[in-house]
Amino acid sequence: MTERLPLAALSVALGAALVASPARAQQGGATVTGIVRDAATHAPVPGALVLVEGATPAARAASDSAGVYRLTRVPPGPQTIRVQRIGYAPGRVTVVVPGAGVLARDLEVAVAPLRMQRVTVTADPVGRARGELGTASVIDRDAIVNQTASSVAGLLELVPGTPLAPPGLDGVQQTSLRSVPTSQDFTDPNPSASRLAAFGTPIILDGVPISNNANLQSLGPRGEFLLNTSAGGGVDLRRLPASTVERLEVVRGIPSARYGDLTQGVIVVDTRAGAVRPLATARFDARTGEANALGGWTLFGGRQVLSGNVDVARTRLAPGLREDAVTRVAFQVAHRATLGAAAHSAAGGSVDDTAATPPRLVLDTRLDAYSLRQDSPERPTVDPGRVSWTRDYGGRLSERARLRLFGRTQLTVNGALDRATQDAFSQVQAVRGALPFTDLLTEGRAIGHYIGGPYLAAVRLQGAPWLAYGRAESETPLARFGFDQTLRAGAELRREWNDGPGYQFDVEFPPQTTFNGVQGFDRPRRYDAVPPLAASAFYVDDRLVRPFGGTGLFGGGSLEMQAGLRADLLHRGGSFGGVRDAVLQPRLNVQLAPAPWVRLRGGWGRTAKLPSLADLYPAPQYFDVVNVNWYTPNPAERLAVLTTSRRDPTNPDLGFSVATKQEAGIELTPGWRDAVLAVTVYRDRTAGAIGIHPVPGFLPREHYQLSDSTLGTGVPPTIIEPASSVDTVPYLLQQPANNLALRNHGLEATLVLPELSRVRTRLEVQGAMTWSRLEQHDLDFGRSFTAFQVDERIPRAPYWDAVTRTGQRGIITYRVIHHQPELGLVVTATIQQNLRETHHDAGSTDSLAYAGYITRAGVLVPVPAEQRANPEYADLRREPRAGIFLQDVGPPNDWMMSLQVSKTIPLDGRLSFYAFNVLDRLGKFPTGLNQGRQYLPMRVGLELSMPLGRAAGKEGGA
Amino acid sequence: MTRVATTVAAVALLASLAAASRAAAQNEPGATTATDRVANETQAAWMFAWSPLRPIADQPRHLLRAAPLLDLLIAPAPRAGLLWNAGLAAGLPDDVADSRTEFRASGAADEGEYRRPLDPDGVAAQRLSGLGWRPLGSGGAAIGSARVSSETLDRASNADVLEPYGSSPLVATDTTNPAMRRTRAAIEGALGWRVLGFGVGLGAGVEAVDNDTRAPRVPRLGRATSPGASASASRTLFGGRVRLGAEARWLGGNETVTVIGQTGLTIANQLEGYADPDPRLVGNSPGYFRRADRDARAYTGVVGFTALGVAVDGWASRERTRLDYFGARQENPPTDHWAADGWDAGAAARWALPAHRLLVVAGVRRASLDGTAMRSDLTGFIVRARDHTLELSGQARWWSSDSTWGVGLVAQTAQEDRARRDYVAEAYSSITSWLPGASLEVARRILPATSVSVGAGLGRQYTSSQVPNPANMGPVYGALVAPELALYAANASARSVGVTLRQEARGASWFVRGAWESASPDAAAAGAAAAGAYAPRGTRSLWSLGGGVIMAVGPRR
Repeated sequence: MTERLPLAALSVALGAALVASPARAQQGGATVTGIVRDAATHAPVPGALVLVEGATPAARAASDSAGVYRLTRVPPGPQTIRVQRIGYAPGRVTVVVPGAGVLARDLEVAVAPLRMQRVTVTADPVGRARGELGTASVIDRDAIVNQTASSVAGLLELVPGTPLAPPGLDGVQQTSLRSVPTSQDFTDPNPSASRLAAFGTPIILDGVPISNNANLQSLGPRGEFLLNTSAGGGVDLRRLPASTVERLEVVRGIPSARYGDLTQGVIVVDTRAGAVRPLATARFDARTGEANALGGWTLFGGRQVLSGNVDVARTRLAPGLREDAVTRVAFQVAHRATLGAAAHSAAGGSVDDTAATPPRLVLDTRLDAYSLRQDSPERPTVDPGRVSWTRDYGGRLSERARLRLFGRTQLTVNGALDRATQDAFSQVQAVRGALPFTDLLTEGRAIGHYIGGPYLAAVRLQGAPWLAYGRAESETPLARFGFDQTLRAGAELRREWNDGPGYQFDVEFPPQTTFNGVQGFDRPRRYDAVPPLAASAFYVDDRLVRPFGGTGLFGGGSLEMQAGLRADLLHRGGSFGGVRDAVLQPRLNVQLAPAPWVRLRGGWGRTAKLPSLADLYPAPQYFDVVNVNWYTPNPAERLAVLTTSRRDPTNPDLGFSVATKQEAGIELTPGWRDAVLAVTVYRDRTAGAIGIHPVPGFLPREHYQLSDSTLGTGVPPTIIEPASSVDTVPYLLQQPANNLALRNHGLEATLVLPELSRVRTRLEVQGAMTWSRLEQHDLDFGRSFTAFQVDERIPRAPYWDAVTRTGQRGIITYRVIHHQPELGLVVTATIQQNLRETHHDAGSTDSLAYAGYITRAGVLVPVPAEQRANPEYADLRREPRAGIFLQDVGPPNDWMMSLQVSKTIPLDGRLSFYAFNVLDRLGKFPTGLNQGRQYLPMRVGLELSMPLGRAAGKEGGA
Repeated sequence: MTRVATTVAAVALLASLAAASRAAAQNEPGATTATDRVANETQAAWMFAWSPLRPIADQPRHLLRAAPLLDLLIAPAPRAGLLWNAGLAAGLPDDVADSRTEFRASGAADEGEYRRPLDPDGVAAQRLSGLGWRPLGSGGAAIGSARVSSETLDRASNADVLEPYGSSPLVATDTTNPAMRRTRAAIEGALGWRVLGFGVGLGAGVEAVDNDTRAPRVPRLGRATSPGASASASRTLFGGRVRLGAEARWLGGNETVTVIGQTGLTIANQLEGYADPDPRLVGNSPGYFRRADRDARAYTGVVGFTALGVAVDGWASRERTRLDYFGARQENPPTDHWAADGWDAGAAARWALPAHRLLVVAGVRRASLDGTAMRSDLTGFIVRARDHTLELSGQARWWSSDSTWGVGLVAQTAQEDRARRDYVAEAYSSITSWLPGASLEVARRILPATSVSVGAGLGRQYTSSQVPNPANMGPVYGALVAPELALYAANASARSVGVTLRQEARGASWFVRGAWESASPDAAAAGAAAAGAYAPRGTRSLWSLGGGVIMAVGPRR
């Protein structure tokens, strides 16, 4: 695939549009009509809301007293029609709408969704996120209830290319769409886009982003403690229970201009709200227990809706081995008030779709709170002293006002304040030899101490990140130039800061063990001294739809385009005054459907990701040079003299990471029993992403003679001024810089075969092959630099060009779905086939691979390639370059299977059995150079859902 | 005619006193582990005859139990047919005309000194289960079951594996004796259709167990999964009076255990018969690893007929099980093998006498197994095992004309012959046991919607044996094997009582059931134990308390 491919597709699409039939837009589209029925009794259901998902302009209608609905001007092509009513599970069908005429399609709703003729257990393969034309996976509530997941991360398994994982709260759960890890070396600072703040897939929760930019729960690039936090990467998805999600839109392609602070797509999460029947769910397996309850009620004659959701989950991380556990408590309260329109309809469901006629003003208030705790208690008999825990508590209050203005223009204003308290503690039993030590917080020379032997090294980080966010957006439907248009324009402001006490430790017992006399010990730092991050953005976006006339195999198509322009501004300091960096981001998506059953799509765009607070304002780095190291058996006679230097690694030029994204695809929906084939190829490149740039420098080191070095005096000697000699010690300042580049390209495909009606079984296949390449445009000083630092006899040390790391992963997921509506039974067998999965380092390791050397004065001297074999550089060739994998490294191909069985039970309940890795496959053993594959052990459990009562209002009423 | 019927009934009843139906011989699937006494309930076994998870060519040795009660207030009357007697899913369309759904919750505790070395000291379990069947559309029917249990084991014994007393003599043990926690979940189901005059059935299920130490000093991490599947076909002739069927069934799965020991203290002993194994020191990295992969298959033919009001179904199964053992994760091929071939054949008869409000069920079953164990470092067998079981049992139910009173009687006996020849230790054992038992249950409706039943059961074990002299064997044999054989070789008795209360409410039957059971060796064995021999001693008591709800709808056709 070349970069020209998507552009070529775009050209074809645009060219086709220019020669297409110039039918007027208002004349296009078809009418879809039918009867809404109860799946159990087949009786007509009046008052149900029927809508076309993602259609722009919106197409919606309510069923009349005979259950008849009528949707007009439905865009041609595959469309998802959703029907919902209070007291029923929402129904959803996919239809292929002709360019004109009438399509008859009856719909059904059921109290127990498993009794409907069609159940959804996977993401919609051809659906679109609301207001988006880029490639997306839409996971709606009916698919979510069939996916056993504890958090949003578990729902992402329905996205092509995502590996299966057991439900639970194991590990920090971060995601980065369309990229794969580029290293299996977890000590490597650049393993995966999901763990780097420079790249990002933002989570938009109810219209407001969740941000990890102000998360400072990390010790930085010099830290030695591994803390179980999400700092320095994407949002920890464990804070979002799957039970609270109504709809998940995973925009893998080019998002519209309304989304910013991203390089790897966007995930839009709508939580459950509105009038819903109270429901309690409990799940249990050997590791994870989870329970949640939710309900929603209409108030004041239907003009207000109040709903709530609470979820409690606990995962034991290593039962039988350790008592480590993660506990989460999350709750949400949602309130909606409508003004200037008819009362809340009986349709129920998501707050976005509660009425056939939009009211004048809608006010949505959300209060979210969560607690996420991970505890690793001490095992006194096995590993005394080792203790760690992280405790995150957060809350968010958000408000969204949607005001219908003159004409059909709608103004939406979002505001949110998000605050968290983060506390992380880690302690180990450290053992080290006697080391000279200073806790000086300022630059200068001071008498130090000795530390050594066994002691408890502990560190505690206390952060309090804040996010204040506001957005105003207008949306105006237009009909010009033969297109139905939806024009959106908006502006957003965000300010993020952290006012936590910071990271703290007993300076007498620092949490570092590899002190080499130069690198120095870190010092405590307060987070509330870190300046805030302020950013603003402005965007305009236009969605154009033009249906074609005509009939026959290639009649009744459409052309859709979405063009937008976004400007992101990073401001200086914490105010919205000066501009530190700005990025202009054009975005374009085009979709041409020459016939309703085929769609050609293409997109191109730029996106930008904000730097994190930790990158903008890194902690100062201390270097402690040892001037005197006089260690005697008698502590009273010891003398340590150290000179402390403080360097600020802040990079004033640090700015956005900027990504350029392209994709092209084809979707075939022949309308034959829900069969679908969708293929997308993509390529993106993020340049100027933030990595660590080692800035060389040197420190003068003074050596002193001692006044009296006789042992047994009981007092320490004194130094004799001036210094007897001075030498230099080179060092590397770890400075954030826009020096990383990430390239991804790949292919995604989804195939849905028609159901074998006799055995009520169907097969869905989705797969993705992804290549990622992470380049660091910088230098690599290798492992020999440490010895060079402290040994003044070594005059110089080699450096190399940085290694480029690549990763490749292919996953095909087969889902065999057996559904017996009469039994209310769904059996889903999911087989994951792991194809090629390799890691490869692009870099030379031969003795002539070095690029130059660094002197003891911190000067970089490049050596031309033709001179590197010269005898005067023999010392630079002595150390082989280590730690990189030149050959493909990765586990062999293999497969595993998970199983889920769901069944209705009396009282409208539902019982699910799930088994991850049901055959307990271990994974293939190592072969040749390949590493072995190790699948997580089998995990099985049960889930029980029971309605608790009836929703207030018109529950189930006709 | 009445006299003929009465005579036949009497004959059947007498036969039942010395007969055993296949259903009565089988317990609920999954009842093959050391904790089966608490992890499984006494649900009527014929309701699980279709289970694709029932063992194949494996005859685990159990502690003595009393004959089961009929559970008159809970279990429906036994039925006839290819599904209920022979377990063929293809019989579903013919044998399922009604709907039934039941849910149960129960707790149980089992403890006592009368146990084998690899049985846990004490076990407590909580369990939830559900079972249901119903017709499906026209010409179809479905049946399914799900259950989950949580078990806690105090001093779980030295066994690393879930079932240390299966037919295979290859059992992993270690020198620790930790408290364990087991989580067990199983789901299974079967569908049957009538296609072109044939019955076609498919069944599938899986059971998974997680078995981990609690508050570990020496962690022992185990897990097991057992998927099973069956395919069957049937044909009825002469208006349903003759039934023919065939089934192929597969049972797979594996069990994995990892022990992370304390260097120099923990020793793993892989029992391989009667010879003392080489002790293996278990460190903390990589620890001790053992995995067993199972591949078991059974092919069954069934013939049934109905004549003179008696429904008879006979079956014969050819069974084969192979277990491959691995000593390390990357080890391939396996180090040890167990292969067993066997036959399982029998017949069951059901005779309903509505005029006398009497139902009689009788059966016979003969199962045999010939297994060999092999070690990769030796040629030939290391152990050969031959197990034969003959089971006879019968049951009778009687209800008064106004259904106020009910009586249920079970009589059963079994003869077990188990022989082991260890070619490495040059030792031989042969134990023959007679296991007669009987139970009686009386039920009475005390209020219009309330009934109560009380029952009691007895069981006996008479044995004759030839076992190796422990003095000639090693210390591991003396600690882990000799007490087991001594228990089998000692006469013993078991007794049980149970009380059930049933209440009809809201269109369903709600019940509470409590039971107590105990087993102990005869005084002679206890005396030998007191004298220091390897004889069993003490008693083993099992308490259980549970309840549930049953929703049943009568035949649709």
